[in-house]
Amino acid sequence: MTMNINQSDINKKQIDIINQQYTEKIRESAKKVLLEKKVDVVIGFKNGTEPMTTEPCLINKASDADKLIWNEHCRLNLANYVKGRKDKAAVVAKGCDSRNLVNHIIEHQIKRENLYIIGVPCNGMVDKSLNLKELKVEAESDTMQENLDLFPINRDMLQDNCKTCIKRNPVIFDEMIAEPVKEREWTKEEKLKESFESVNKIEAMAESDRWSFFNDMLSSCTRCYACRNACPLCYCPTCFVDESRPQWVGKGTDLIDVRTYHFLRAFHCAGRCTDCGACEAACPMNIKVRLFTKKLDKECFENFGWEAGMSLDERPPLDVYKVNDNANFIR
Amino acid sequence: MSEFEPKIITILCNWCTYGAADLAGVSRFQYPPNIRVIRVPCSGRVSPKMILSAFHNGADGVWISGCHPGDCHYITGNYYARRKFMLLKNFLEYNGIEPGRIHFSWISSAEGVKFAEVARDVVESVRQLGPAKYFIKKELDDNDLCSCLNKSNPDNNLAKNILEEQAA
Repeated sequence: MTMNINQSDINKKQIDIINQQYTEKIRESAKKVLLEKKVDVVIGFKNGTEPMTTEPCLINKASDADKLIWNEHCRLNLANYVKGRKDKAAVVAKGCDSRNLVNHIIEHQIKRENLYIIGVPCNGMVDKSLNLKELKVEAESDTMQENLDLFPINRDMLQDNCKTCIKRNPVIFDEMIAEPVKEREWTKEEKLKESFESVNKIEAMAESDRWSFFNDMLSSCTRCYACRNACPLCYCPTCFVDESRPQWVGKGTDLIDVRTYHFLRAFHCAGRCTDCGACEAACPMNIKVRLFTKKLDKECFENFGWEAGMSLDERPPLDVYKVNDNANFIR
Repeated sequence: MSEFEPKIITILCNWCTYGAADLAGVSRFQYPPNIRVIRVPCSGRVSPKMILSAFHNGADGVWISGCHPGDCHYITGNYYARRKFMLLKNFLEYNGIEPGRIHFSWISSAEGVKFAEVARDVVESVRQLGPAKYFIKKELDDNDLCSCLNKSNPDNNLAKNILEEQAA
């Protein structure tokens, strides 16, 4: 069995086979670790209530293991559900989830010995808005299954962050459910040009255009905080949006408050964001909130050579300093 | 624009630049009165929330100043702050804030002259840019309500009706 498949030539049939194999192996591992009492809970995905969606799923009985599934719609980041847990948990983790688990460990949110990581080599997740649009699938329509059978997964259909993924296989794991997939090797130049293309475009705009670009982008934001809640990095006991003395940011959908919220949310993720895309996947208004976090990713990569969640031995960039850090903007 | 006097929120570290401001005053060095000083224990204390809050409440510029690297009272506070400030400055500019609105400096408590000099430069730079345009938070008043509602349809009398109703 080889999983070294280029993303562009994966078709629906291959994806089906992979999904089935992954699902079986995940269920098998979940059963095993629960029966052996290695863990108290297994965190994975189950089918969502709507077509082409999945939900996070916590199971604590081996008999429930058959609820678990794997497919190309497992966009959320399961590392979000282990933070602060005191019991032992097994997590089904694709590349980005595992990088967030590394984050949690180095930020002391969870102990490595309390984690059992079921590693999943990831073939990328399908863009949630694109596939619905392309396939014109109405929820509960009869033709849905037919459409799905024809459904190919090519690079154009991947969600944006998967197109520029730097780690498809888990960084740390206790077991892998399949052979690792091929990783793309990025040179620094390639990464700056390709991975940060969206950010580069905005940087090239005039200041006032940038201001109005983000105003337009955020005009539909309802402040539902789905992006915050889906993000594994957000675990402050009191979020800055809930602080009232002083109140740093208003609670309504006033545009300045919305801008402030998104500014500060992204800033809190500086040097920690793994670009897993859970924020965008969770956004009910399809706002490209990654444009903010991605800019700070770029800054950290350019200035500190930092990619979050890749190693247990390195501290995040804002937790360390160098005597010769860039200081040319300071008088 | 010559009549415009900028308001600048200035966040100074207690141990160095606040001392420098004191020295500049005692030594009678001239610098413009547009700065409003906030004293913090260390430049590492400064959070992006504070900067945005300054703009919300009508600041035209922000100037943050602390100890020279290596001179921090808390040994390393300004080293951490420096990384944070770089990201903050670039991210503010990415969001659309003009580069001349936010300034950083290291000024020791012996550098009263430098304090006055930087203060002049900061005020001048913000004066050139004119009043702040972005991140200003204002309370909705009657005029805003009219303009909001009328924006989509110039013939819309709804706003006026609402206001008349309220008045009656």
